[in-house]
Amino acid sequence: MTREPAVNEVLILHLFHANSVVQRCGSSLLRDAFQKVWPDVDFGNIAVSLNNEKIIFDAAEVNDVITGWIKGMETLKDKEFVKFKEIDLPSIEDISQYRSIAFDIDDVIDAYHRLKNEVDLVEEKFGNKVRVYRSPLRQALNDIALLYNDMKDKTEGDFSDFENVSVYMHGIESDGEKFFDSALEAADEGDIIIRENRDGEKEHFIVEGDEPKKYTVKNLKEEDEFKNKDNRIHYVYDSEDENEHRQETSDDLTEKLMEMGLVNDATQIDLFGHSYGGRRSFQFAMDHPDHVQSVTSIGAPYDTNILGTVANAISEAIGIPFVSPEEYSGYQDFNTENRRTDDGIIHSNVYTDMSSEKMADDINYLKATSPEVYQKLQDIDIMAAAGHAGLELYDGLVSVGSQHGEKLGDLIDERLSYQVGGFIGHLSETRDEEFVELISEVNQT
Amino acid sequence: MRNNPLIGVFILSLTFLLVSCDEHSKLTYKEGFPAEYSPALTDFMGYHFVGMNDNLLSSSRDHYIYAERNGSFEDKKVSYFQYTTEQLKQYYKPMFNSDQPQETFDKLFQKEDKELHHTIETAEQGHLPDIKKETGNRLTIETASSKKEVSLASETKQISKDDEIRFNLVSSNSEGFVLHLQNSETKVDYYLFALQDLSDIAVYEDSDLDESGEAGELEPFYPILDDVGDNYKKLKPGQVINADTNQVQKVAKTDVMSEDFKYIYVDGNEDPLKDGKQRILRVDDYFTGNDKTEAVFKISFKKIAKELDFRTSGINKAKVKYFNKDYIVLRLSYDGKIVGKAGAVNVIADLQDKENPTAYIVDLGWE
Amino acid sequence: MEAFQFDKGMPSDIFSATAKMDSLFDVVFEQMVYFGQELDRHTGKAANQMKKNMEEDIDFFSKASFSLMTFMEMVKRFITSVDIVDEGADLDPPSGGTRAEREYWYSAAKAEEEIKVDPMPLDEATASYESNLQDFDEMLTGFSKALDNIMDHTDFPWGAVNDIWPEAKDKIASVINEFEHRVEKMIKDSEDLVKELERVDNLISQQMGHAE
Repeated sequence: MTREPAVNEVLILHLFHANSVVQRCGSSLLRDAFQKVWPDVDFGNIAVSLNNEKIIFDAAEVNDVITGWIKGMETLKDKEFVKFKEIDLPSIEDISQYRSIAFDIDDVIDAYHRLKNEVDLVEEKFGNKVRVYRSPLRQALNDIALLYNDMKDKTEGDFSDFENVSVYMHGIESDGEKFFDSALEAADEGDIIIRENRDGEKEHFIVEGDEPKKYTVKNLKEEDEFKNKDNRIHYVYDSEDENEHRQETSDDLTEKLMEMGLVNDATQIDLFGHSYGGRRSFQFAMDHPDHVQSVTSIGAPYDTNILGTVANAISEAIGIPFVSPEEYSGYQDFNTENRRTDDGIIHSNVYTDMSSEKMADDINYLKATSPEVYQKLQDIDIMAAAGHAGLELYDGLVSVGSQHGEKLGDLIDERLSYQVGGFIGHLSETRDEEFVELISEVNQT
Repeated sequence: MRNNPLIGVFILSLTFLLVSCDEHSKLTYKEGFPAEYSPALTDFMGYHFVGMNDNLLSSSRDHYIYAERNGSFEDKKVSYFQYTTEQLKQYYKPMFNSDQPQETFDKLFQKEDKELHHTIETAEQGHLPDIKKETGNRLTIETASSKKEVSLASETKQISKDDEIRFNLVSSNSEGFVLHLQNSETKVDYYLFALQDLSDIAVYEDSDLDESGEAGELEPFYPILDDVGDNYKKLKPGQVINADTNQVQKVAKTDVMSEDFKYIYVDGNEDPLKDGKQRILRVDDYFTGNDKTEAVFKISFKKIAKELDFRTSGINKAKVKYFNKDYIVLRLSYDGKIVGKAGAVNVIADLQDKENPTAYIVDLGWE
Repeated sequence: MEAFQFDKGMPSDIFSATAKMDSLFDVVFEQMVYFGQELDRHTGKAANQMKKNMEEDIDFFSKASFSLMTFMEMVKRFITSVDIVDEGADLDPPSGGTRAEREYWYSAAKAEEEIKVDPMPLDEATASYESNLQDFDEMLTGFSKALDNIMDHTDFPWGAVNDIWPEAKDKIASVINEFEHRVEKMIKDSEDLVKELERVDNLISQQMGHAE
């Protein structure tokens, strides 16, 4: 031990805490991180044996402990400074001693900061390996909840007796505002619109004439349109993260619809998607084919897409101003090609998906491994609409062939084409008059 | 023409006038919610938090009186409440200096007990009728001067005893009142007009109202209808009636009428609105066809996008959400440069101070 | 990532519970599906009721096994992955398969496919049915214990899972209870079911004998 005695006095406690933390956590990786940095603290060893029974890993808690040590050291430094200042005429020894103490403290603080980084790296390592199981676990818990509802023969939720639901899914870099306007136009008088924004806040409307009338939930429940349960619910949804992978959206949507009481034997869901929202809708249909009546998309990139590839690749180096391919939502795909790393975190999102996977691959795999689900998908009415400029080749971003899901074969029941306006037609597809009419028609069936 | 110095002065004055008009309509853009109370802001807040659901019967400097909305045919009576201007101002005070105006705006709307519903009994306010609905669609009506039972099925063949009729009081003054009736199943609307002494009561189906109005059948009820201009009376959403000529006037599809029926926003129903000059007319001027404007202001979508640093290929939505003569709330939404959405915002154009009209750029999340 | 915790011994508990479940599920479920098909040949009030009960049980078994097994399997893989990382190895975690794939694995459709490929004689099936159900019942007890262990000692490192985890525990307990209850009832009713199946089979054999 070569530190100043004043510093060692504090380090005794820190060493004790450090060994406790490592022992309690039970993780070799965390112990290794402490052992790597502790020689720089230069006081004792991390020599404790790990607890055999559990792993309890909480990086935030460990780092809080270390932050406490850092504060302790800073307090000690202040104290020593005050002591030094109180000396009227400090000798050379006094000055030298103070400097030595201050140096030791700064050195230890530096080591503690490095230790915190090591703890973060441990968290990152764990996180990157287990993230793939987050989605399957959520799905399993949702499936158990659905089974539970079946058992009780009861679905809880404010909207549990409504049988007709339309769900509107927007595309990348966007939200549901355009779909809100389109849904309103396509809706019938008395229909209920639920608009959920990115923060999870919901607004409730009843369609009355051209403008929807907004209600609190309590007031909504007092209206006949709610009590009768005959009307359609239009759920216009903002994904929690703008550019989240379709599986993440499907998992979230499942939970939200369940919470509202809209996943049950009686309710049939009609899905509408624009652009990547088409893929999101398709994913939900693959996950819950028993509850989906139709899928209608426009502008959907069912094939891999150049924008996806470019954004996924180039932005890692130089960044692109109009898109956010690094956006994280907690999802990681099992397909290692459907991933990217940002700030050390390995994850998957719309851009990794559009650059690495065409929907046809998923569908072919589904057909081979789960013919029953594939058959159920075939029973769903699937319409793929394509927006295009004059030459009917593409909409400025997505080819007509991709929008039509040509590689999905007879899974797509109807392929429609609409000439859309604007320099980049893709941007105006959701509000295209013919598409709005299509929404209305689908909602009538 | 000989040179006349007066012509020069005249031209100069004209130019100044034109420039001045443009200067009056030039908005100062400010980011954020208005920082202070104002009468128009208070009216707007009252409309959004209460008036969108419940039926405003009267407002003055001091207070607002409402009839509670009856959303169901099972509702049995008309209830009333009021709040003072001070209470309303206190209610929306959190909007000032909120870091999250959208969240605060939503929270204030969603709050179930807004503490603004101070019940009024009809006895307290002379002209508020006591109205109850009994089985068989019979109304028991009691006013300060009379009491009567009215069978809706008898008043009009179009309503039967078993119809699911919900009823809302939409107008009331010392002369009488108007009920809006709706068949919950068929969504057919009816209007019941009644004088205060209940000596004259009439029910019209919505589709017959225009014809009946123009035939002069509504003349006895004109004193009940709110004045919305020199010659015009409020009739039903989007429509007024000329009390002199009995002509029913509808606002054009491209234009929008204010909530109080007094003003028209020309081309206000276009989405997106045209960039640039916006015009608001009084109802009288609008239907007379003269071009006299009550308010004019210029809006620049590009400038707003620049203020907010939106990287956009252009606006895709510009919609009027609320307006009266000097307070306009818009919703603007911009496309991304190549994909998606660049952003969206609400704009509150405050024209109360004609010298310094201001546009507050703040996203209230009001789509 | 948020905090997580689990018992180090859990993967082996889960492995043992799920391995038993998988092997017994296949046998019992196939028998159920097979009997369901056999019952289609029967008429009469009693047979119709048995058919209805069997269909409901098949539906429940399929969904319960699929969801509980997936859950257990994913917990096991999560823990195993943490262990692998903790030991300093850098292997990619095994894929869970797609949801549809896993669902199909526990579906009546798959059982029917297997019956087509490898049909079972009725007498064999009826002879072993009750004892298989007894084994399944015992297995469920072990399975339930493993689930209890997971529920008592595991926290997951993601808000999206933790948000639904507390409520999910009650539901898991209910589903397992229901599972056990159904198996017990099926054991009680198995004798009657077997009698009915054999009766009609004998009848058909006799009729065929007469025809010859």
